[in-house]
Amino acid sequence: MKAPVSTAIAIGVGLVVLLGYFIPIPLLTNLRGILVGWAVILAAVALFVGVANLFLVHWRKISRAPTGGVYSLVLIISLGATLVVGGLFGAASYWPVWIFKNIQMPVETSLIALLAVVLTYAAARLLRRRLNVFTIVFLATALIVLLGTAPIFGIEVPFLYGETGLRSLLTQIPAVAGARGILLGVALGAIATGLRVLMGVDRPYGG
Amino acid sequence: MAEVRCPMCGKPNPPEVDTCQFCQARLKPLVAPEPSESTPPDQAPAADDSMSDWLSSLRDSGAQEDIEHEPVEDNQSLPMSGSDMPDWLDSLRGSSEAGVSAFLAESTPEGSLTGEKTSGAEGEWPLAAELPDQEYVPEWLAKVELEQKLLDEPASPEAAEEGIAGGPEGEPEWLLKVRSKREEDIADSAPLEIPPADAGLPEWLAQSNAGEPLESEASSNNVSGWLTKLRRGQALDETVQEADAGEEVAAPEVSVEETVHIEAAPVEAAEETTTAHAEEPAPEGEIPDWLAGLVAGKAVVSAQENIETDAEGLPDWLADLDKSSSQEPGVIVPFGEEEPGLTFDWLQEQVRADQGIPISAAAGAGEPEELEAEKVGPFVGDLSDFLEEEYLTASETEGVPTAQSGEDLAPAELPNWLEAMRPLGAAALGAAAMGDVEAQIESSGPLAGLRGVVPAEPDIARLMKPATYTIRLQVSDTQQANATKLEGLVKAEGVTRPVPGRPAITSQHVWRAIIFAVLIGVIFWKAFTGSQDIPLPALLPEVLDTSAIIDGLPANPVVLLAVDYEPGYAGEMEATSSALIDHLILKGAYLALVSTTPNGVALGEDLLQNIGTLNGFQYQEISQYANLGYISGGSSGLLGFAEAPRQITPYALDVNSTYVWGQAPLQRVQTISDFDLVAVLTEDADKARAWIEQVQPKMESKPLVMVLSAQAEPMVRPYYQGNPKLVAGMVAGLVGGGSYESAHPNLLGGIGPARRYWDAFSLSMLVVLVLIAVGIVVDLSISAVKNRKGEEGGKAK
Repeated sequence: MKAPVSTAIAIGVGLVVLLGYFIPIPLLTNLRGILVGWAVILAAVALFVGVANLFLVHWRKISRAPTGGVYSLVLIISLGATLVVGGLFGAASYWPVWIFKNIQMPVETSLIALLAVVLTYAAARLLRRRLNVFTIVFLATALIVLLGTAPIFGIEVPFLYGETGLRSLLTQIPAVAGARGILLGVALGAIATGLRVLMGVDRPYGG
Repeated sequence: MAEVRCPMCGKPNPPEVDTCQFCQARLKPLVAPEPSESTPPDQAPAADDSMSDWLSSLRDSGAQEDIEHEPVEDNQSLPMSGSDMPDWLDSLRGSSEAGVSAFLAESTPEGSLTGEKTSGAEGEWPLAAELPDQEYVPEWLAKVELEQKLLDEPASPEAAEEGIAGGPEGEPEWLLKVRSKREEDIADSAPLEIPPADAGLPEWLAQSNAGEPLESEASSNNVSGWLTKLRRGQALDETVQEADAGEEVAAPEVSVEETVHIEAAPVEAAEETTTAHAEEPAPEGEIPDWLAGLVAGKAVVSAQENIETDAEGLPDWLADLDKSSSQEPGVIVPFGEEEPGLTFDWLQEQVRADQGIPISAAAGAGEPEELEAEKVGPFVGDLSDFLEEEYLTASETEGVPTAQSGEDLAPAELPNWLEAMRPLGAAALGAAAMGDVEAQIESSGPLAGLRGVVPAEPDIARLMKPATYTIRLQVSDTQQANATKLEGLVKAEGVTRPVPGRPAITSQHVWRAIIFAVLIGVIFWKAFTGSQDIPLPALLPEVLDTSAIIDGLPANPVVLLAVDYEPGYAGEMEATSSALIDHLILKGAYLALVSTTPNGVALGEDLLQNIGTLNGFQYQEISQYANLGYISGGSSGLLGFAEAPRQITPYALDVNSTYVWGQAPLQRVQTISDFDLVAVLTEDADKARAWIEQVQPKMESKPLVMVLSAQAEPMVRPYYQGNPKLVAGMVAGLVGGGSYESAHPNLLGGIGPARRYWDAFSLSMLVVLVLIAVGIVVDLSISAVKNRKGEEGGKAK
């Protein structure tokens, strides 16, 4: 163990917060609240450190290779402009929201829009790449759900739409069952990860 | 006179000094040796003048040892003739023979080492009278004559009955006769006179007779161990000599007893007779306990009445030893046949090995005890360790049969595999290399005279030319051919081959372009035409529950609205949530906006602006809603906010950074449960799960509503369908938003985003289905054609 102090602090804080859930003692509850408040502040500082690191990385990239650092230059200019506007007018004021609404949202929405084309193409070529039973089942399920999501010209097929339709059966029984299985796995994984951190086996904080 | 060389360190010293100048060892004995008057000049050692006194005494002792051990060899071999012996041995033998002759002629039977010799009458000791004075008689012959005379005389029955050893079973006849004769002499003898001169005695005995035995014994404490052993050996020889002369003590045990008395007893004990020694041992305070016990035990051999009394003060092992000896006092148990535990096993084995007695024979399988006694010797086994060592050393030097040499052993037969493993070359090399080394004899230093002790330049001598091995790889033709093929393959991998040019337009590009064109065409057609022909979906159960929850809120509720979606999903999320938010505003709710993503702050502001644009109402910050900003820390931040929202987000993000918690309606909010409703807008299932797991338990009975994208619905639905419901209501996707708008047609001016998007969404969804179906058909057709071509090609071949 390279850093026993940090490991001891992490384990101790974790145990205090965990015991605060199960033992309703005011001392533990208050202590847990203080520690959680520290975590929120430290996470915000970490976000600020991340922004500073992003600026430095692209600044070095521009300094070492001026010809290939055009995109880095754009990033730095955008960062500086948003920072200046947000700092001057406030984060929820008109100009920062304008920048966000007219620049960032269209860009990201366009990327999401490309997803529709790519997924459609992938589904159409799926059987050419892999032709087996599971592929056919996957495509059949996708087609039924899509067809049941939006009625074609308002014409509702009796066995496809509604609470007892095929679409509802697919989305509420097998899909929910699979989702619950995933959630149970996530919960067990979270418990195992928490225990490993509490026992010092995993040290994501280093050391 | 020449300088005197120290017997201890060997360095020369002036003749006038008494002690060595270097090691302080005594150069002159405390008792000055008197020249033997009775020794004829022609029988005196020729080298006496050149030898020092200690060497002379040592030679005398060696000669007396010869006298002692010669009876053992008399029956087996004849003495060497004087012509075959080397000079030094001849002189040594001459001196010893002279000493023996003089001793036999002049010593009395009562002569003891204590100095209290009882002079035997010459008429009672026939040997001295019959031997010629100056005639050379070998000692072995003198012994034979003595034994013959003793055998010729009749033994008195009384003496035999009064013998010391109660059981003469193991004793030879000559010894019994000697013992009988001695008993008669004891009974008839008067106090003997000390002869005026010890003409026939060796030098050391003359010193003893000179009346200073005390100083000699006292000085023995200061000499080294080897000299002490040597003196003990001399004493032992003397006792044996007395036994040969017909002393009272005929058994070896008695001789040992006397020896012990000589070494340990004080002057008073030394002056007593042998019998007195046996009956009256020295005081315990003057001798060690072990020696006292040993003396007492041995005294029982000659006087049985003192056995038990003396054995009480002995240790167990010594008491056992004495008891075992006392059980058969007259029996001389040869070494190796004694009771187990009397001697050490290793010592027995060593003695047997030295005397050539095989172990099986030593076990006493059918061999008489007398024969064993003759082979082993009478003293071994009953002596102390150091005495046995001395005795065995002397026996070995006198020609006791030794173990068979290695020439008599049959060569070992090694198995083939072991023979093959023998490092013959290394052994030969080592032998050759060590031959010269072993031939070297050290000429100086403490190792002088030893051969091959310190090898000279062993490493250099062992150097040899390393064996040469061929490095030419022997391969067969097949291996060579395979290697050539492998080499060709490796070279081919390194050769750059031109990459075949891909066509500018492939089927992939065509498919992508077709899909894009169809989708964008349908969307543009419906968007620009403003078609609303396709009806909205029917009211969904989860939407109905959500609407009922909002309807059930109190007037002017305080609602926490979490905007936790990314900008890319803003179109779907606005269309899904606009009707719900407008529904809340119509209820007069005060909205508190928070977000766990940095983009949520702007997204919330944009969402409210868009809703205000739709319904024609501009929401006023602080008075109608408060943007509390970003909650950092993920799940931890949510937990902290749920427990203490005022501490996590104390100020609003307005221009003045207003502390909204001090104003109405947030003034009554202390924890998350003080909010009337919590509505979470997210497209990420993990974020939705974090809100459900961290915040919902703190909300007590207050409802939690989820507004989700279509992709997050399957993961959140279990929380909604569970019992109890962790999620009270849920609006998912454009279908859910359209369903909510259809349920509340008065919201958002009657035409909400869901309604605007619904025709384009529905038609594009149909196009997507058609494209996928077409693609599946085309792919299956291509695959079928290829398979058919493949089958036809296979049939043609």
